[in-house]
Amino acid sequence: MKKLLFCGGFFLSMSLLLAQNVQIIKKKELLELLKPNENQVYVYNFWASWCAPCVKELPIFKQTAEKFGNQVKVVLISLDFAEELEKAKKILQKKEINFSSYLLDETKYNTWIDDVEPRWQGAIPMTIVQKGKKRIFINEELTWEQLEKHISSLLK
Amino acid sequence: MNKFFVSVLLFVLAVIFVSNKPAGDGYKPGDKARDFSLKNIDGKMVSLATLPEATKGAIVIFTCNHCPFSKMYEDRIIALDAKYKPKGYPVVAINPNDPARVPDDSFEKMIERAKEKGFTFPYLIDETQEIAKTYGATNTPHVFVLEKQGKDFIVRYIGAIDDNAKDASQVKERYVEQAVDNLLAGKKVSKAQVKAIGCTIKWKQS
Repeated sequence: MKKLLFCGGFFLSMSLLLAQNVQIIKKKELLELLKPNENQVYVYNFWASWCAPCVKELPIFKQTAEKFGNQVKVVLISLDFAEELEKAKKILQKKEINFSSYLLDETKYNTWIDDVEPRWQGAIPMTIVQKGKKRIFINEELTWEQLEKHISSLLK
Repeated sequence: MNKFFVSVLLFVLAVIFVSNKPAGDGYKPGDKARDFSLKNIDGKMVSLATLPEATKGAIVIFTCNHCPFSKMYEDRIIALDAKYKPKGYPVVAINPNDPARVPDDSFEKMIERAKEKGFTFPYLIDETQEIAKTYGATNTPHVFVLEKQGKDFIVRYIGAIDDNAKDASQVKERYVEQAVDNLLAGKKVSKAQVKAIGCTIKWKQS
């Protein structure tokens, strides 16, 4: 009986661990996430479930987490509408992505796009690779080779 | 001699300044917009200069078939044309996407989509992507409101159509309408640039 309970508990906690945790955030939390850190390389990706090239490139961020481990922090920010959170979750689940992931619930776009990146007009996919004050801004779909090159240039 | 050096220096500075302006930087409000000659869905070439309704200006919208944010705005783009074409500001829609990357944005599919939705305005294909690049369009949808001054078209507004992509009934600020209304009233455009989420333009991959 104890064993059974243990097994059940184990599977329950495993499934909770694997379940998609997408945190809904506002502008304030987003800007907090984007704060530069001199000792850490960050990869921020802005995507949405309705954006085909975004969904297509998601696996390269999983690959980043796998290859670089603690050297690089990957932060995914979905721009799906908050009521479509489940759509975003499903895609992440399908792509087996289970690291820090957010959904920005701010649809007055003009009030925060410039605060994220003045060069950005708001089109997605958009990726930022950042270490301290060094920032690489990429406003198109990336290949793994391109992303890896950008990350390596900041890891040096 | 001194004068000579000063003028050489000025010349060099001017050259540096001009060549430092990054290519493809795009237009800012106040810039003169170049005209174009692009193929419409009816097979005819359309340019601003020969568009009969563009008596006061034009609402140039880079948009496409496939992008969900473009689709959300289709009806609102038709409404803009209905409201402002009679006032001298017709809509001119331009699809800048490379159909090799997005088959849904091919010329044939543009014809289909325009028929389905009953577009009342030209829907042009920017095959070389030169116009989108010159204008500095990066998104779909991406609006450029142009005011006609003599033979020139001057950029007066760049950006989003309004402040609520998801729900037209919840819109509080209609940026394009405000801009054109300002121009029609002979006023300065109050908000000349407004950003919004959209799809990236699918550039040709060489």
